[in-house]
Amino acid sequence: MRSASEMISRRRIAQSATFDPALNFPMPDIEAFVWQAVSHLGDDYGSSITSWCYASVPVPGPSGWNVLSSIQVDVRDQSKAAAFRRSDTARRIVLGLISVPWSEGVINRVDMVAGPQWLADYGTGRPRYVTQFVVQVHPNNGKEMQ
Amino acid sequence: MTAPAEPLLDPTEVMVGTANGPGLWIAPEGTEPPAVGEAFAAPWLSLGYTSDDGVTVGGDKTTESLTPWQSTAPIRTIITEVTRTVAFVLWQLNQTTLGLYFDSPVPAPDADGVTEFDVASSGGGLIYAVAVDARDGENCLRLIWRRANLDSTGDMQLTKGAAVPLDVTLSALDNNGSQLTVQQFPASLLTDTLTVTAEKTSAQSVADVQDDTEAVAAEPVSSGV
Repeated sequence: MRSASEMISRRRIAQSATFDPALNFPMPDIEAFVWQAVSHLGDDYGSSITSWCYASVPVPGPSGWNVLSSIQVDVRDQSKAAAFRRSDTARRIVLGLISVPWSEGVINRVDMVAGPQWLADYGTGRPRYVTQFVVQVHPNNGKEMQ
Repeated sequence: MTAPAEPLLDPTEVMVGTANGPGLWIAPEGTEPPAVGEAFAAPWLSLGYTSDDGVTVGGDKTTESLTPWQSTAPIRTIITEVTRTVAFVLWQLNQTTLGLYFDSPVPAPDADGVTEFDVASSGGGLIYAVAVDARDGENCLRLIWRRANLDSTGDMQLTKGAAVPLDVTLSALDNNGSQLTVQQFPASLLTDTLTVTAEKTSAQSVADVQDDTEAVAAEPVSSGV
């Protein structure tokens, strides 16, 4: 069991750890933002959609400020044609996010790096299209946001 | 104890070089740029898509050092020439971009959409006004050259599987003692925000795209793949 003095000491370490202002910003949750934008595509008529961030790497700049996130969007539907069309709608929405105001951060670029790829579900054969994007984001840089 | 020197570390002043809409503009020599924050309007023309490398602003300075007999270090450096350039690779081929690359005046396309012109073996040296318009969230940066002409061009490669590049470098010319104008300002001063969209969908917002999904959803479900 930790002693009270040890707990205080650890808290002090945490409190004094931030010396680079670039690190002292909440990281924008791009995975949640993409999901917020596309999730409605899968809520009825037997379709479903999944999006998630499968990789994230920093890009040059102040440490941790700019991040390049790889996002995958899987769209399933009851036919191949319907899955393709819905997947294409998701593509347009994700690529268009660069122009959507976002209080958490700034999206500098969105590139489609793979897809739409036909990848029916293993076993069931349920129609699915997969598209992958890379999205570069950083925290909101408005002075009023600090 | 004295206060620390300003400015301190501030990541919000770090700027990612993303285009503000089209981002690259050209106009006849001497054209004034829009007022700070206002949109580019005619006679400014967009140069269209550029390569992923974006825009490179360069500079070079030629100096002459005066090193006296009594010292091995110069006591003065005289600037004899300052060159500032802007380079980019254009991806759209049209009257404006081809004319810039070949340093030739280009007539407007005829009624059939045909553009035909000869590249003169002499002459050239056409002078333009050029502007770069960048925005990263709340930070905006504009660089405007009121007088610049073609300095050099890169290879125009026509290869399978790649956009034909128009690799262009422009060099700044003196304009009443100025080479270029730099504008840095907050995005709140922008009067019109442009987004890069294909022409056919320029009026289409994300909301419109979402409306498409309702049409998809309303379609009868087919049974086969």
